[in-house]
Amino acid sequence: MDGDVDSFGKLCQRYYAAIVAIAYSVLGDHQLAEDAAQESFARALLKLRSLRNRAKFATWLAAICRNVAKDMVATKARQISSEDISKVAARSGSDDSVRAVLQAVEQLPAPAKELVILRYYDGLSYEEISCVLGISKATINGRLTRAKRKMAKYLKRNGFLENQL
Amino acid sequence: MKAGKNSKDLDELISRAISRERPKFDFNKWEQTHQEEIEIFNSQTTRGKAFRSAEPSNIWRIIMNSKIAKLAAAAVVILAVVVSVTLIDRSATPAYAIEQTIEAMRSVSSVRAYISDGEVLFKINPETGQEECYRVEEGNVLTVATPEKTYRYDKDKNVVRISDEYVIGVEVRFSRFIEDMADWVKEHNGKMDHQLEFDQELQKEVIKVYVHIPAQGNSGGQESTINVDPKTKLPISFGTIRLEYNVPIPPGSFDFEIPEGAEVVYE
Repeated sequence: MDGDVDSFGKLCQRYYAAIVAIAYSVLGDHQLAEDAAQESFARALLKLRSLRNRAKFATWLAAICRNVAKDMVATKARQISSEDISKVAARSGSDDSVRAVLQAVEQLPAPAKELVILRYYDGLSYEEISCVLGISKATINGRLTRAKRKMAKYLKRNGFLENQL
Repeated sequence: MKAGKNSKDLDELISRAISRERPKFDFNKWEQTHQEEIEIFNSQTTRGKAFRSAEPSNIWRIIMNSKIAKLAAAAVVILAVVVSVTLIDRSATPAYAIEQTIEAMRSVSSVRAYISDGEVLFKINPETGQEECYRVEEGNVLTVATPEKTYRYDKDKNVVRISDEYVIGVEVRFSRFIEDMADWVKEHNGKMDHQLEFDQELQKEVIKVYVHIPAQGNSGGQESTINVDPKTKLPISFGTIRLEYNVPIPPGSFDFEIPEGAEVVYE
């Protein structure tokens, strides 16, 4: 990776979907998420020399992306709120079940929400998620199960009947 | 309805709600729109190589340039002294050997320093031995450094200054501090002596290290005293600064949320 922009590009290609998903979990907007991912690559390239443990490139890149996305929210560049995923669904005329699920995703704590989106947004494998989050596949499985359990509770609590699940 | 089917149905619902086609990254297009970053990266690489070959170990200068130079300098002196003590005069406290301190520093995973007006917490990367994050609370100023950004929040002015990089606290590796600093000590011809003494304030016996760094060129000399714990072999205090190692790091120590209404300045 030293001094090799092409190698950097290959790594970006490998992790692009995951990085976009991470940005999407913060921004709730497909286009902004891609913008954030590409901005993250630019920032990562500038700081590549400061990366001490290159085996952790993907987790480092993910952390940069979270910051980029949060900055986009913080500076209110596009007046994004944390409710946007569900608002987008409402605007796009999604059915009730989709809207309810999106609301259930929204009420998750940020790390759990990020994990659910990584898994379902682009259909990333546990292996791919493991690379960007720096946690084992068993841990991913456990956290994902807990997150879905919370979602199911939320859906039932909010009148989304069990027979719809 | 059974839990397994429920889970499968929920999987399908989630997929239906948020899944989409995987985005593809067009690196050629990205390259075209990020020429400036690529040029900077290429120039950094060239400069980095040149720096390494020309100036291999001017650690002191690097540390003094850091934004928490006061603390870093203290840490440098502390550990430089430990090196020198053991290298220069092993006879005074024969039980104290350089290898013990080196070994002790290897297992340092975090460092907390209590300074006059606050405290500093360093997280050490166990693989590299270098600092990974730090948090400084000094008076009304909070500094949080993460691998991606360094935040400096002046609570009085309600201003957050954000550097888009990790502002290094101490350039040398904490867990290899002894080895990294040995060259610096030799270069600066520091003199010191040490002995086991009872410290009234700490109410225990410590290895008292008296340091004298002679004036050189434009820089003045330094006189300092450091206390090294004879049991752990780690420096435990330096002047009014007290040090602890391997302290638990509270969750969120290195998180920084921009306070509502704060002015944000990007540096």
